[in-house]
Amino acid sequence: MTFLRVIGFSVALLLFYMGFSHILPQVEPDTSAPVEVSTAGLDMDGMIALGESLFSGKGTCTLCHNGMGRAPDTLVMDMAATFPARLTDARYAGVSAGKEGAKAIEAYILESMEDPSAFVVEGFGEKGSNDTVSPMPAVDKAPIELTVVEMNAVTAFLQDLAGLEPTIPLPSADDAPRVEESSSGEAAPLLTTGVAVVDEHGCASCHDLDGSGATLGPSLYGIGKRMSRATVMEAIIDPNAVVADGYDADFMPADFGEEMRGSELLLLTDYLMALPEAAPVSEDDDDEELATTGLEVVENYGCAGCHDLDGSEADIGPALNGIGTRMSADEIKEAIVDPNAVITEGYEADMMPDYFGDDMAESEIDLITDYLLKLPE
Amino acid sequence: MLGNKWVVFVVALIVWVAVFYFIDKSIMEFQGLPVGADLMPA
Amino acid sequence: MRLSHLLALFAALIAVIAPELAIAATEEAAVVLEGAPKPSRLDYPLIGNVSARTVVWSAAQMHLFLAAFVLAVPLFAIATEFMSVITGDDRFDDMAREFMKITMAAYSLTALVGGGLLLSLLVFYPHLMDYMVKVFRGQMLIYAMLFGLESITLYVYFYSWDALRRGNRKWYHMSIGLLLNTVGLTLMFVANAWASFMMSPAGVDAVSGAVTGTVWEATRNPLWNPLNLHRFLANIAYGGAIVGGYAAYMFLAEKDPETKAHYDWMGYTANFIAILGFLPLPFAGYWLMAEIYAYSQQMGITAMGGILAWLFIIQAVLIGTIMLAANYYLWSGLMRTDRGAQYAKYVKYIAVVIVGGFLVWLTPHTLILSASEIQNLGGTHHKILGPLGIMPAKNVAVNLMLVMTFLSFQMFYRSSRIPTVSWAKQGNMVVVALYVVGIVNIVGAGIYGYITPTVYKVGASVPQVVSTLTIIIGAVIIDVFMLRGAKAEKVHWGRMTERSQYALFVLPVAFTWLMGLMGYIRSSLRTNWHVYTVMKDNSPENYIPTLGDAGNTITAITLGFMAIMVFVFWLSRLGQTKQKTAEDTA
Repeated sequence: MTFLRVIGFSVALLLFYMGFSHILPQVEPDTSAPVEVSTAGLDMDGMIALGESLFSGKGTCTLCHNGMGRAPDTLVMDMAATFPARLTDARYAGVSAGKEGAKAIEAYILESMEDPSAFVVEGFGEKGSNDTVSPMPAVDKAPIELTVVEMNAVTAFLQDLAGLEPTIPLPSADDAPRVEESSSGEAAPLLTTGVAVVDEHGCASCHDLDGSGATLGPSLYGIGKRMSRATVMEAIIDPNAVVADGYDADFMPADFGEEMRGSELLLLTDYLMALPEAAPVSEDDDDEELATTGLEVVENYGCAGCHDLDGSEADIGPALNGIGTRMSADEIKEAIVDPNAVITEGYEADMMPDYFGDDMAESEIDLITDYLLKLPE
Repeated sequence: MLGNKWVVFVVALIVWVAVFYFIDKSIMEFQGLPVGADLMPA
Repeated sequence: MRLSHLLALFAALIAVIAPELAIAATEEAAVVLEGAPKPSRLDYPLIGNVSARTVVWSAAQMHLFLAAFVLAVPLFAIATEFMSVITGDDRFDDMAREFMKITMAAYSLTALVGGGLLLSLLVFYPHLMDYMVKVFRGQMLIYAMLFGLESITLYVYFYSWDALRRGNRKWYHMSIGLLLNTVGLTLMFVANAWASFMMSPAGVDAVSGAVTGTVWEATRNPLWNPLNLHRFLANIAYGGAIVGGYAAYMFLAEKDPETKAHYDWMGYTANFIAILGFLPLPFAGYWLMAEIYAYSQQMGITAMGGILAWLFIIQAVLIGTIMLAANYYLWSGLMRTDRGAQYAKYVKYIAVVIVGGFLVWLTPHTLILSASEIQNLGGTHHKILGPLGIMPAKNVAVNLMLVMTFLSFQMFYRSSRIPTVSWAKQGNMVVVALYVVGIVNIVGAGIYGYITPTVYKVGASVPQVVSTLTIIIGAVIIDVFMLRGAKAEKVHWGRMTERSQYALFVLPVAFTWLMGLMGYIRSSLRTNWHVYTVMKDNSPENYIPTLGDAGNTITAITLGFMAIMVFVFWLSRLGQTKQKTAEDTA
């Protein structure tokens, strides 16, 4: 009897500790295999963006370069004034000593990554070294091991932060591919509303939802009256099971079943079943806020629903990567405003909506053209 | 060590303060962190 | 102690250590231009759906639990045996022998699990083992031979107990015990070298991993000695805790008052040993963390400020429960003496400090918050409680808890002794003054850490620990003089509540889980490296598991260990049981 009580007590205590470890915030690891990513074709904006993601990601810079006082808080400091000040510091005797300008700053930044002890900012040296030894590890060595291209990207980011025009060389096709070990570390956030699911999976690009006016797929208004829940779900997961009159098979992507989470599928079905009989009177387009970036245009107009953009991997329409090398700005504009003018080989006419010219503001057309021109291969 | 126990207490306090101060100072200096009020960040 | 005994002891020590030192230090590195292996993800063996990491983790952790136990017990067995010689009290000798009896079965299980660990490493991580064997070569053979020596000394030490009972022979017996401990420690130091090498490699080329140095250089890597000290102390605390659990169980199970008294005394002694090992542990832990920071600031920050930061909150919970349990046991112990009651009135104040310290230690600084939570909170840190999360507050809390624990112990110790020296009252004032000044110093250093730059925060923690040690050592020294010839009060061993024994169960359970947690931290510090910066980990499981998953694994291993210990203790009881003959039952 004593034995049981003692065991019971011990097990209860263990369960308490175990439970506690579950209550605390869990940091989900990235368990995917590392992926080799080519950097060829990245333009300067791409390099700056890469640099920014490396700064808080693989480079682990923010581990020390933050507000805790271990290293200069680069992200909030006035780097435009700081960089030149470093170069003119009396104790600085590195590669850019006595020089000035963006190129000298580039050399200084690279030097600080490869040989941190070349110059230690006052007050940040290792204890007892009188600011001659830096506690910062060499970035190009293990465990950080940023490649040359990656260090250039970080440099570009830092130069951009200081308001300078980046001076680093752009990567070429000869550069070894970089290994992307981890993404942001978080799984895609769980969607919690039907509208969010519609947005995420681009349904409005083919079906008239959320004011999109799309007609590629049948209207879904009043679907709750026409179909049962089970049939709606089936239509999402297996589009070819029942094809609506007047529409063809093999149009709607057949992989939503894998793409969506179970809960998202249920949310979407709820949302669809609750749609009213007729579409609501569309809002006055002029009142809508205009997009301010190319990517916003893509999101607002659901381009990613058919084209592989922003990681959507859709292939209803042709891939647009590197379109800037194949078409001019005018040709791209035409393709958006009048899709049937030139059909890409292997694709059909009358697929892409032809109302973008009417719906998009001039500025938005410019933005999307610009964005597409800059798309890397 | 005889005498009023409160006297002993006060004396002991003073002695221990000196002992601990000496220990603290030696440790901080050994670590290369000289002690002083003028080390406050500007 | 006679000179001849000293010489015998010395000779034994030299005989064991010399060959290894000679071999290890002078062996020149073979010209190995080959760097560390670079296995790709597909090179790692896959066996069904078995999680390689979980298998190796379980084997390693189980091996560590058992090894810590079998290393620690001979340490305090010989100390207890020594006490019996000094005091002339046979009860100490009997208890020392009982300690050893408990561990005999555990020893072979340790070796068994160690073999299992080796096999699982060879099966699942052959490239890593290939490299480790290249680095440590001859030393691994020495390790194997040492096991032979350990077996010999262990069995001789145990079985010769009665044959070498008194006079000179007792000293020979203790020499064998000392040899046993030396071999055991050497085994631990060798294994520690391999573990610490994986974290802070030395003796190999920094870029390729090619073996360029001697085995001794690889052994003497930056984190070796901090790990040695930490494990040495922690083993003592752990061994004491487990033996205490055994004694507590026996106390509850036995009916005979004399036997109960014996186990109560054993529990008290074991608890004392556990606290003795526990008190300097924060210092050893601090040194380990400081060396980690010195070796690689990145590794240090990953541990304390990065992804692993939350683990230290769990550690705080575990240590808090250990402290509360140990203290509760001591307070309960006051009822064993008639004078104990007068100290009981101080208990509530001590309890307040310990619980308060525990709560402070529990409070995190940086919280992982979502955007809306940050908005509600008005920032990333809680305005009032946030500052309690940083180091100075934590150090004040833990040091005060340690001081209070020692005070509980001192109160119990004093409750059975009435001082007879003429200066007793004044002596007490000196001790009180010591506590007062020491505590003020700890708190003061903490405040100092708040108002000065980061590097001072860290620096100020050393005076705090030293203050704690000064209080303890000072109080002990004063007591030694003050209690000379003191009138001994009767200690009613066995006069304890059942409840108090459960406090002795908390210790081994919490300690075991804590060790599992610390193992998780230590391995995770390496992030995705087998050997940090030298050999990349490209296995499919090269990520840090979530806290919840780790909690599950650690709990499962702890339960397994508990089952093994129940088995071990049951065996030792079985060894004493005699079947009743017809005459007995007549």
